[in-house]
Amino acid sequence: MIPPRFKTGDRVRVMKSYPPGHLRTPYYIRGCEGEVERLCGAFPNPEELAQMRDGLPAQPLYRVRFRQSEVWPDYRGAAADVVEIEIYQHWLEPA
Amino acid sequence: MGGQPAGRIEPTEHDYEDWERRVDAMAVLLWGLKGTKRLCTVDEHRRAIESLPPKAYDTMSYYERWVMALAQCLLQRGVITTEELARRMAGAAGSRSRHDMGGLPAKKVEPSEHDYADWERRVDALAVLLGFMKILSVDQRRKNIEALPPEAYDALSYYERWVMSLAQSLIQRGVVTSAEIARKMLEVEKRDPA
Repeated sequence: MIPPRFKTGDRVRVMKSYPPGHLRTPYYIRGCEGEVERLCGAFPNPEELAQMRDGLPAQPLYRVRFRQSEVWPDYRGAAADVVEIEIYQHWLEPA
Repeated sequence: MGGQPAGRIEPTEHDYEDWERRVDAMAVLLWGLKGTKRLCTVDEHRRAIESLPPKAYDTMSYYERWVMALAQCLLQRGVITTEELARRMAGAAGSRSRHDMGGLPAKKVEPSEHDYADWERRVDALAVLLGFMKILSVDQRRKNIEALPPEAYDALSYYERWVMSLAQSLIQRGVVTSAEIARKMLEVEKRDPA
């Protein structure tokens, strides 16, 4: 397993990249900044599983919390609204 | 496209850009020089070019198709990982995959109850069995659903996408050959519709 780089409360930014292949990082969240809500564990890398390889060592997976108003420029809901997305460590950088 | 209506071909001389020469050189190297390891075959490369979505195929230039296809081949062969490619491509513009629709305008979802057709149950069972037998991962099934051309993705029903993806996966894994599927499809076509 790859050691976790982040802990709850850390500010992180999602890598803004659009490679081909099977990804578990939604398009709309790439490039956004959020806060680690929790470490969910570590799992084989789905990008590698999609090519029928073992995806090891396991990648830490985090639940990351984003402010809706920062994700959607035209967001009109409450300022406290958030969206939480599970993102693998290799898509995150310290913000 | 043999036999399809087309405009007149206007032959023009042109020089190649440096990046185009590099893509060509990279392809030749990957196909393997005498005594070096072959990391991609010409046919693998062709298959990847032919798998480009029709709109991408039409809008890309010759070597743009080549470089997209080489990237796919290298990912499949494990020469590079999606992570490595993502890091190198960071900051570059990119397009959204058809399935990745979060945030796009959409119609209201109308939930309705419905039963499954027998063929849909069979497709589901087949996918579960292939997973159980470690022939196919959920992620590979997803990858091949996501790789459907946008037009096909929109036109196909849920289990139609699954069965297309299973066929691609089984060919990729060498469980069935294209020729076997071709023969079977002819057989099915000849079946009495009643």
